[in-house]
Amino acid sequence: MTALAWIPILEPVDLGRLWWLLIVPLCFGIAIVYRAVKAPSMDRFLPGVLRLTANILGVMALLAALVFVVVYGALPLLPAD
Amino acid sequence: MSTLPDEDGLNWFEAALGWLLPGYGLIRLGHRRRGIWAMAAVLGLFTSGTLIGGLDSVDRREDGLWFVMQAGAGPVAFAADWGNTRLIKSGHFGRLVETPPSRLIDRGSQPRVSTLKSITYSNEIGTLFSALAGLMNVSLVLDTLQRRRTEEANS
Repeated sequence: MTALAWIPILEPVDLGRLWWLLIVPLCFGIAIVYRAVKAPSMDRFLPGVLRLTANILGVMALLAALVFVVVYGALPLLPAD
Repeated sequence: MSTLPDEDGLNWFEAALGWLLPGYGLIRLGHRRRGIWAMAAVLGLFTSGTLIGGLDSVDRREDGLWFVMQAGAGPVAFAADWGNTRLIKSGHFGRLVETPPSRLIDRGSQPRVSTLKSITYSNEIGTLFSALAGLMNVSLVLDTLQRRRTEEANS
């Protein structure tokens, strides 16, 4: 499927290898709703949302790095039998 | 501004409106900015989900548990499921093709699938987006149920 032939809504989009980047808008949407529920005031709402989005993405990146180290660094050192 | 419930009870009507149109319950309670942001987020997530995975990412029959979460986004989820059934699964758009025989999957009375059926990452991520939109709206509805009415302009 090429981008020109894509019919929005009816057809799924071809994400290619960059599918994981969709975590950014996903976290942004979740952060908006979280702040809309939790923020006592709407002053400086958007900066708060952006900070929360960055926090979520940062922690996810740290967890990904930790899992990478465990899988590719620690697990191969274990005895096979 | 306090978020304690009103003394006269919970905001059932506004909560129902919030399910019908995400964020609208908050707007009705006077929290205009909060409601508009919430509406944009929930509907944005849901629309993104259907853009990524196509209408096939909302399927009440094949992905029942996911649909329970997606239904939290309100009538828009039922409309997407209806569109999937009427436009894609019926072969109105795309073509219906035979599927290879399988001992593992019971396809029941519909052994043919649409060429527009979404699979792999597109389907998974599209389903996840719309399901999270539903769950976010459930939290908004619960918040609307107990939030105090306000007249503040910046709320």
